[in-house]
Amino acid sequence: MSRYVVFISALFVSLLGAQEGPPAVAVLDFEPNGIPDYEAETLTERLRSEIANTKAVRLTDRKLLEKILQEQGLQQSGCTTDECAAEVGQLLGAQFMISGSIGKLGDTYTIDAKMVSVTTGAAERTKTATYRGPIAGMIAEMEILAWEIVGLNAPESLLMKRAGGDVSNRITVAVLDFEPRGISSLESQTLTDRFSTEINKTDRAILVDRNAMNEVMQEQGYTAAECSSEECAAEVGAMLGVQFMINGAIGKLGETYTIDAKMFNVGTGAAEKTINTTYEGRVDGLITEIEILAWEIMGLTPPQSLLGKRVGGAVAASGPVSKTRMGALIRSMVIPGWGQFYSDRSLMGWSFLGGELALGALAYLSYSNYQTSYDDVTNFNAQYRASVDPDQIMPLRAQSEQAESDVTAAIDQFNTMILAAGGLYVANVVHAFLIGPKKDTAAKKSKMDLVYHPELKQPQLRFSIALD
Amino acid sequence: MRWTKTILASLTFVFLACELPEPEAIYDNPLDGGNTSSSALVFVPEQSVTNLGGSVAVEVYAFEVTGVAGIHAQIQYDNTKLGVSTVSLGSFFSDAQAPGFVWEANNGILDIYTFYMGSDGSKDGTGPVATVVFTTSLPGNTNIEFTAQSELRDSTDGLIQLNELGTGTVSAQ
Repeated sequence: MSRYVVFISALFVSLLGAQEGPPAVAVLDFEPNGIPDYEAETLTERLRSEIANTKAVRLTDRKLLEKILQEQGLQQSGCTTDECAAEVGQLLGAQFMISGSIGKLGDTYTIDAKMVSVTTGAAERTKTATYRGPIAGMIAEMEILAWEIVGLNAPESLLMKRAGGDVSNRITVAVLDFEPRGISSLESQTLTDRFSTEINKTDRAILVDRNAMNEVMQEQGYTAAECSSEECAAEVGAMLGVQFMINGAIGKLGETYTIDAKMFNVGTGAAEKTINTTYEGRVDGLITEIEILAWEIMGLTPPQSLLGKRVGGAVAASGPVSKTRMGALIRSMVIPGWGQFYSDRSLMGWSFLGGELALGALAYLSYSNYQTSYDDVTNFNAQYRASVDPDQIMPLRAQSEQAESDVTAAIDQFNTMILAAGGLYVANVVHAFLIGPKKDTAAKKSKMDLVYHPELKQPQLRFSIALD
Repeated sequence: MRWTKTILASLTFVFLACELPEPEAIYDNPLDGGNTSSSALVFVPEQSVTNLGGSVAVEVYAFEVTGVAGIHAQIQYDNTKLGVSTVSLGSFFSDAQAPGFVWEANNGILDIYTFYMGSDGSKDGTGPVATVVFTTSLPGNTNIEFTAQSELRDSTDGLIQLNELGTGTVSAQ
C-alpha cells in the first residue's frame, strides 16, 4: 500500500515538475566531517529554508525526500554519490539535487556544496566557503551559500549578518617544513614556524594546524622531512582539505642564504606563486627575510615596520653587507675616525679622533700665542716709532723684536700642528679605505640561540661554540 | 664621488686659509742708535704728512753729542713747495739760563743758531735743539736736509765732528 502511495506521489510531483516555472530542487542533508550529525542537519535545514526564499527554484518537500530514500533503503547520509542523488532526484521529479559536506579543521569550518543535474548526472554548480569562528556563524554562511548555489548573489542584509569577518577571500593553506640545505633542520624548522606565524598575520589565509598536518602525514607514513616532493605535498593537502600547500627550501652558499618558496593549488597541482630571495649576513637576519617572504607569497606588500627592520634595523645592523669601503672613506673624510667606527674598528677610530682633537687643541694654543705676540709686535713697534726718549727707544725695540720672534715661533708651531693634523687626517682616510669594514667572524656570532624542536614540540635554548 | 670631491676641495681651502701672516715691524726711529751714528743732527719725525696748505712741526735733534756748547743747523728745502712759518727753541740747552737762539730763513735755506752764553757750559747726550713749523704750498713730497755748513762747537769754540746729518720728507696731499 505504502509503495503505491509513494509511487502516486512521485508521479504527481513529476507532473508538477514538468510544468512551466522554476526548476524543482531537492536538498540532501550535508555530510558532516568533524561536526555532530545534528549540527549538519540543522545547517542543511537552514539552507533549504533560504533556498525557498530565493524564489529561483521550487524546493521539494523534505518528508517526501525521506520517504523515497527510505523506500530505496537509503538514508540521507548514505546517498553521497552523484549517481545516487540523480536517481533520487528522478524519483522526486526534481531537475536538480543539492548535496554537500560540512567539515571542521581546528576552529575553521569548510562547506562544500554541489548542485547536480538529475537528467545528465553532471555537477551543474559547485560552491565552497570557509569560515572561522563559533558554529553559530555558520548559519549565515549557509544562508549565503543558498543564494550562491542557485546562481544568485546573496542580499546585502545577509552579507552583513556574516559573522567572524570576511572569510570568503581567505584561502586554506598548509605549510610544509622548508627543506634545509646547508643549515640545520632546527634552524629550518624555526624559520618555517616564523613563516607560518607571519602567514597568519596577513589575515588572507587560514593556516592548518601543524599538529593536524603532522598527524595526516604520519597516517600516510611520511615524516615531515620525507614529504618534500610536490606529489607528497599535494597528497597531504588533499587529505587536509586545504586549497593550497606551501613548500620550499632554505639553502646556504658561503655567507649567502637563499630561500625558495612555492605555493601550489592542491586541486590542480599548478604552482600559484613561486618566490625566492637571497640574503647575505648572519643567519638571524633570515627571520626578517622569511617574514617578508610570507607577505609576498600571499601577494601582499609587507608592512613598513617589517621592511624597516630589513633596511635599518636588526638585519642591516647584523650584516656587514651594507657596509662598504667607500662608506668608510666618506665618513672618515667628514669626521676623522668615523669611518673606523663605521667599520667596527673602534680602537682605531678613537685613536684617529683623539689624535686629531689633540693636534687641533695644540694648533689652537699656537694660534692663541700667535695672536698675543702679534698684538705685542704692533703695540711695541708703534711705541718705538713714536718715542723720542732715547732711554725708552732701545727697550721698546727689544720688546718688539722679541714679540716678532714669538710670532715666528707660534707660526712655526701652528704650521707643524696643522701639518701633523693633515697627515693624520690623510692616514685616517687611507686607513678607513684600505682596511675597510670588518667582516663577521665565527667568534662574533651569537653563541646562544632559541630554536624550536619539532620532535619535542617545544622551544630549545641552544648553546654553540665556533671552532673556526 | 661627488661628495669626495667637494670634501677635498673644502679641506684644501681650509688648509690654505690657515697660513698666518707675519707682522710688519719697522725700526726707523732716527733716535735709535741702531739707525743713526753718534754725534749727529736728525729730524724727528723723518717723514711728515699734511694737507695742502697745512703745517707740520719738525724737531731738530742733536743725537748722542758730547761737550756741545753751540749748534749751527743749516737746513735746505724747496721753497717753492715749503715755507718756514716759525722756529722755536728746543729744550736741549734748557738748563742754561738764557741760551742764545737765532734763526733765519732765506731762499730755501734755514739757519738755526743756538748756544750757551759765556764759556763755561756744554751739553752731552740727545735732545731737541729747535722746532721748525713748515707750511706747504704745493702738493707732493719735499725733502729737507742738513747742509754741510751745519756744525757743533765746544765751549772753546772748537769744532766737534758731526758723523751723520739726517734727512727728512714733508708730504702735502
